[in-house]
Amino acid sequence: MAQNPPLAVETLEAPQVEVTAPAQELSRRSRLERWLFTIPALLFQLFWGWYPVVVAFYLSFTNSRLMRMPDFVGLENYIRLSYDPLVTKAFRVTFTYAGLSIILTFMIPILVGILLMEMPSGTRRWMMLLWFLPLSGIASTILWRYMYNVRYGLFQNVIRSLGFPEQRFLNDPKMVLFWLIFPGILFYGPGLIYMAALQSIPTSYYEAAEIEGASFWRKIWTISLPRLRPVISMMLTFAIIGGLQEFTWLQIMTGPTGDPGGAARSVVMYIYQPLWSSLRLGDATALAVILFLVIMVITMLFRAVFKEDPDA
Amino acid sequence: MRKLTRREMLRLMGLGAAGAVMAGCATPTPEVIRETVEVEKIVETTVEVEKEVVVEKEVMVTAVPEQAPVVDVTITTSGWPVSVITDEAVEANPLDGVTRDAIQAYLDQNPGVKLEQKDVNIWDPEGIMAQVVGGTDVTYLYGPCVGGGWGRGEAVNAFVQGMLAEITPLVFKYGMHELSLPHLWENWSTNSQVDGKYFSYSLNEYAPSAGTLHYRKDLINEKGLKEPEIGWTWDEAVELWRALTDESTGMVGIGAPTWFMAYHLGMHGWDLLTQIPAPSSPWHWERDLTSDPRWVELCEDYHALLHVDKAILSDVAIGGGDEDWQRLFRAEQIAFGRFNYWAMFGGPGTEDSHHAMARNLGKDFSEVFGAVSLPTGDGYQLGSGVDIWGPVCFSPNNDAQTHDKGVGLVHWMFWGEGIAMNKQGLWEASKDPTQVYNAFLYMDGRESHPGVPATPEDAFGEALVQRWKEIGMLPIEPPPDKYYPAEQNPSPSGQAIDDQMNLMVTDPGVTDFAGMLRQGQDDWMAQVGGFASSVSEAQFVVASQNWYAAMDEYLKTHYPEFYENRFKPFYESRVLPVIS
Repeated sequence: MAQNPPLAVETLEAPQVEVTAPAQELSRRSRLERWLFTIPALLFQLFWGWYPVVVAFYLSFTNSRLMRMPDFVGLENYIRLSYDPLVTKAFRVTFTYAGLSIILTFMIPILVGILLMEMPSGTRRWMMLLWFLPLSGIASTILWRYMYNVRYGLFQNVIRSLGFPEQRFLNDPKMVLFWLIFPGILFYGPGLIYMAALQSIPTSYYEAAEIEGASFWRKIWTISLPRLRPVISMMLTFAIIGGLQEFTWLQIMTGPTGDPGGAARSVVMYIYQPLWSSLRLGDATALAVILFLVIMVITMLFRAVFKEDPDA
Repeated sequence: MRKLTRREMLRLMGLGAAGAVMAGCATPTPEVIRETVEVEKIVETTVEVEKEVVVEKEVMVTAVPEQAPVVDVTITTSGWPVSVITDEAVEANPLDGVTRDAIQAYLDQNPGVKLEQKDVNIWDPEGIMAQVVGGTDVTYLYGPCVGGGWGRGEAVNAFVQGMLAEITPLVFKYGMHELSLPHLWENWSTNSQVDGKYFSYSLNEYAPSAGTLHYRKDLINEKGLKEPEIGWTWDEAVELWRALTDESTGMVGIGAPTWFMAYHLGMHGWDLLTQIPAPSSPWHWERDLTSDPRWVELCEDYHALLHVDKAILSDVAIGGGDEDWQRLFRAEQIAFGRFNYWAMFGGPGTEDSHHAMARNLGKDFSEVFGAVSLPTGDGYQLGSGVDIWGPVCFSPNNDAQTHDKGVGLVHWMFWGEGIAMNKQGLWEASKDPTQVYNAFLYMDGRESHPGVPATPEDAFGEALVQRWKEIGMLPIEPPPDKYYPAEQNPSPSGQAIDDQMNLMVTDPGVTDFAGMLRQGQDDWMAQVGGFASSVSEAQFVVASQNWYAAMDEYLKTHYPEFYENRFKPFYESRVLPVIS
């Protein structure tokens, strides 16, 4: 049997092509323009972004007073906070709230978005309108507060009429965080962003999958979710930061001290009341710095772990 | 000593001559006043004219002391305690025109002074604090909000940190110390200063004490129950609230924010008997919530009232402010509420006022509402009859001249001729006593206004007016601030203890009250480990000796039962050994 000659192994080396942009000297005018466009943003970021951060770090080591020059006190504020059991409690509440909030409100909009994409376009528009209806933040917050009233509220009346045991809603220290997150499950505006991302996935991917016999869930798992990864990564980052910084919603719903008994008092609420309100500005700033570092570390860890590339 | 300028010398001579003639002259007519300006001009320019002026012309100069030299001052206001009243506002409510005229009269007498209104919310603690720091605030401030809260302590805190102006000379310049009734001046003066420096000016009108309850007299009468009297006991209060609670109509005896539990304990001497002096510790104070079993009993009682008897309504969702509670009060869902004095009499023209409710019910005001001091607990009365201070504070961003004119305007509108003009004008325009008497307790002791034939009794009924006056006569507890130096360092909050009380109120399943009190105490003591007082140990000991001695005398005299059974044993066993 004639043997085929061995295949010649040839190493083909691609010619080293140095790709360089044509060397173009920017004109003086262009350089000037570049700087003129950059400087306003740079100044804005410097004064409104980085300067407060640097000052906050400095103030956290002082006995800062609003109308007087602060004195440097070293780690005194941080040491005082370390004595305070309410700081630990506030961090516990914050992590629980952020965790619950991400678990309960993050996945549902993605699934709903995917399901909406399966609907006829007319139905989809109506559903989007109903679900993502923009509501005034404060107005809806106040409405929710009334609905949670244990005596006269809508929910209690519904529960009573259905024969279920009465709920304590915002008065229940064990359940208060759930009831605070509950509206977020029903109304989650950023779901629109997922819709936009889903619409940008080429239909040919799904068509190809269908030809191969992929099921509905298989398509979601192998096409939709991976393609949504960059958006999910960004939204999750925002959700983590937002959850850890939550203030307004908790403050309006449960009062300045996060009742009942501080069960809904986040770190930012504690920074504000009682630290800031009693003019313990050094303590308040020190706690803000601690929170900043915590958020930074968590965000960095998340970014390191979560792969954004849809093809990874 | 500074030399007088020629101009000042001439002016002084003119005024001196005028003063001499004033004594013998009749009240100047408006026409004469008009001439004043001319004479002043002459005085400024030639000596001869002044000599000639002597008698005839200086009559008009009687008006000169009332018209201050021209200054360039802009007083800014958020609308309180005086506002800039626009034509539109007067069109909507013609009575506002009367107040505007009174303000204008002050401005006319102070040439160069302008009043401007800015869209600043001085009642928003976080907002106003930032505005004071940024210099975008207004002349008139409500001190506690600048300090981040609603009590006198916050105002002191703000003042100590330089966020409120010192106005000591003006308090005496305008003479409210001479106009006030002596006992009221003493109380106000103690509460409105720190180490001799005054941080506020009074509105003249005062509230007897924040520690009062409003009740629906009509609802009590409908049920054939007895109205509460001053000095009623906690047990009597509980009995009445239980009797008023009616599930079929949804009415509850009393509506109380969650923090009312602290009031309940306070009514039994909580603050007095749980704070222990500890001079040698950095913060000088300790809390002991657990040694005395009485506190556990009281917590259990309150919890049962909330969750078993359901005679107290508390709900996190209703919040701690007055508005929602007043709505329930008007809707006959609660028979008692803890509202302040002003809530009862204010806004006769508005539809969410007590007045409107009485009108809608077709009843007299005094048939519908009553007021009473807090019930006594173990023989102790919380809340002095008079515990007044401030409340008008001034921006540290204004100069001395603005403070002067700003205080001057407040004085004019609440103590001086402005109040008379305003009240008389309101009466003439409305013939309605409720428009005139939105307050009827004055530091200067006035009980009516010149030119107003109606009395507060005509507006609100004799019994109700008398009741408020009686509440105002309750003895005044020695204020600690009179004895202890002002604290300059950050202070621990009571949040750790408040949290535990709040849980007792909101959670029906609580059983371990002693454990919760211990938790509150331990948390507070842990926090205090990070604080050090600015007051020295020696100062603290002396202050404590004096304050406790004053309290000993006060309680012995006014509340002997509480003194014998509660205070004396505590004082002798816990206080004297550490401060002697």
